[in-house]
Amino acid sequence: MGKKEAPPTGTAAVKHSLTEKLKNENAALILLVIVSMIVFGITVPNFMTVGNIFNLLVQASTIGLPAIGLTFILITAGNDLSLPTNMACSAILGCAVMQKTQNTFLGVIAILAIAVCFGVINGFSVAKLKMVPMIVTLAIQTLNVGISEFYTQGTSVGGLPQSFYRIFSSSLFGVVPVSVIIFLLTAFVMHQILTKTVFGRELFQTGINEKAARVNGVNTTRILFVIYVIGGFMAGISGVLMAARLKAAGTSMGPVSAFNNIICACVLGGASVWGGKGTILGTLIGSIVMAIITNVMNLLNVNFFVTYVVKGIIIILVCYLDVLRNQEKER
Amino acid sequence: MAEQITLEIKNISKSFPGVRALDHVSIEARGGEIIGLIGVNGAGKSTLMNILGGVFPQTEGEIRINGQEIQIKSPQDAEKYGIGFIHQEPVMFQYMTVAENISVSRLHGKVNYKELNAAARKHLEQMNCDIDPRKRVADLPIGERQMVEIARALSSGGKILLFDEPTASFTDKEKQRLFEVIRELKKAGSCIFFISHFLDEVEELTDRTIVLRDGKVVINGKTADISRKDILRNMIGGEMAKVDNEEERKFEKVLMRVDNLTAGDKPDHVSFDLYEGEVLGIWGLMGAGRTEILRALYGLDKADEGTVSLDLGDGRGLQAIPFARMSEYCGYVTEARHDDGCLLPWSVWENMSAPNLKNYKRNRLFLDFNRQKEESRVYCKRLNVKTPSVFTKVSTLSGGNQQKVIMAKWLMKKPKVFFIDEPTRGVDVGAKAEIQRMVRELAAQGSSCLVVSSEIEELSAVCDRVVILNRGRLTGELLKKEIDKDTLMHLCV
Repeated sequence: MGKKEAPPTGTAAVKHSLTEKLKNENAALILLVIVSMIVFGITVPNFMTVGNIFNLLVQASTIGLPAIGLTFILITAGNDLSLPTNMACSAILGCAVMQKTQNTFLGVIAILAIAVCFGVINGFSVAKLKMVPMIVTLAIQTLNVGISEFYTQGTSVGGLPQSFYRIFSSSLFGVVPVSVIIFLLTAFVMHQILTKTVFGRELFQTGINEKAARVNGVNTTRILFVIYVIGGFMAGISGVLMAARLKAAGTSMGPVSAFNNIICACVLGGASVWGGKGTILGTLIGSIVMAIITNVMNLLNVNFFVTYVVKGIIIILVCYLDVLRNQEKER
Repeated sequence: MAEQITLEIKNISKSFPGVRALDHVSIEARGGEIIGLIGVNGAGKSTLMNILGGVFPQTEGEIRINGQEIQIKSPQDAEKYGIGFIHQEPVMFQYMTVAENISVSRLHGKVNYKELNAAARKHLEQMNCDIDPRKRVADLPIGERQMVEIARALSSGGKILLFDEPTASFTDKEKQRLFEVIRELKKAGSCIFFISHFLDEVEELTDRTIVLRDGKVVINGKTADISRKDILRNMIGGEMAKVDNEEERKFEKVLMRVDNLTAGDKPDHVSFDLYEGEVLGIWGLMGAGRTEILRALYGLDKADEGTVSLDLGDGRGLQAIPFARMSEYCGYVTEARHDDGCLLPWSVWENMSAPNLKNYKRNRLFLDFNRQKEESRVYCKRLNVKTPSVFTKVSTLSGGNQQKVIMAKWLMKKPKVFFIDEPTRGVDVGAKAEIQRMVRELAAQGSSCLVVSSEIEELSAVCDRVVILNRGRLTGELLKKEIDKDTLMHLCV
């Protein structure tokens, strides 16, 4: 990754830079995934089947795509509560276009464009108008829910062209779902952008110290704007994949509560709500962890409302983990 | 006059790591007297006031009020002994009412607003002030906030009032009103300390002048008997230190032209030229708007008026540049290293390449990290940055080395113009000389520098020319050979 290089003065101790530490955190997470896979594989029936593993990865992609967007936003200590509702809302409106025109291409473009539009509204409000991210995106969330419910009237938008399902909900070689491939590809590209481009480095500068970033000539307004647009775009991709899988778009695709899984995935993966930190690899693994938790509770037939209680507890624990990490940083 | 309050300060000393801020200071003061306290930045004025106000605990020496020895350990203690501290920037609860602010230390349980407002009105009237006590502090202009702050000190029975540069952000009218109030308070028997950078204010208002230098009292006498020249000489201390006797250099080509730069009330219609290869100093007292000039030029603060042009060396001469794009052509070493200078959690190489990423691309998309590290290593060596390696986090380096990392990041960018704000504040003596030499080298290589510093020695060591700033306006200009303390002080106060 271009970062492997012997330090000049032979001091091994100083090489434990931030990137090293994050890698170690990721290693711990991967270990957690493997151990839980083994434990659940033995104890939970039907867990260790090929079908279920890919099912699990599909679930991970639903959490992971918006979580990738949120990782960019969290690095600036921002937030985007509208990610899941944006996903549902843009899928509903875009699928309506697809249903009317029976044109897959046009429909997919519509979904992505509408999702990006909401991202633009978020980005403009936060970057240019200096509004508080939490409030703006909460407002957009409410707006999304309103539009979705009003348009669908509690039903869902179906009757989409067959080619749409064929492209986006098929499986490569009959086993690897296309949505998983798109998820991993997107993660790879976003990882490259975050770690190896001017934009990525400027994004971290903005998150670590916005004032210093401005002195360094970073256009922090532009950075803040762009990340919310990226967030919208990620919600759009997720919306396309989910609509294809469900063969329809409805409000249940992106309930407000889905945000919990998304932010948990990010924070488990090393991002911090205080800003300045985050990796795509971490978020990827974080979303797999969240998918495992959901999956296992499904397989064990845990009562739907009890899963809410469990997830609530997980969020509290993850937030505390974030606090602990931050104290470590300050020391 | 009723019973007279007396304050005796005996042999007060205070040290901070590396600095003797106060060195056996003894002052006597009594009610009905206004004492002007002056000195350059770092002379110990604020330290003395902070000890009296209970902000810093008193460690050495003794303080007596009316002959009785007291210990001031906290601002609450100070209030108990009748010492009121009126800060430069009023520290208040913006969204509480005037009356609530005045009685804030006595607010608990059920509050009787009728009584509260009446008490506030009484103290405000004492100063001929007709501020409505029910108004929110946030809605008051700054001058009136100062009045509220004074009323707060009076309401807790303040007999000794400390004014720390109260006029710094005042209009002339507000200032005159404040002076009237202070004279009223004097008549009522209060003992008043008045800190100011402005000699005319001290001459106009005070009965006695005390000059501090390096933590010692160097003048203590009737204001009327002391000449301004004496004050200035004693503020600075002796003659000027010897500086490098470099030849006067000739400059021909204007590299940057600033025209009528205005942003809020400072800078106020500032115009100057910066020549290629020149080091231009901006000298002025604290609050004169030095940093504000740099920030406005660099596009960090919005300029209301004015233009800046640069000669980009493309044969088209001076071209107007939008302020927002100045960061492409300039480097800015800021005053507050930790605040906006470095990215503390980042390593040395990451900090050094941060402003210059566009020049470290491997191809159209990706960055070349190896080249960033290599060049950082070269500059670490060249600037003598003491760090175990370029992978070391900047937060673990000393102040001087952090400053060198900041200098290095701009040197690596090779901008047309360097903005340098207080480059050696909080830096040890060795690094200080190195940094100053670095500025000279930059100029020798043809870069232009705009340097802000409060230290006259520093300016005369590094600058070819100095412009003088007073309350946001340029009031004079001196060439290298003319830079001397008396002239500078005369032009800026």
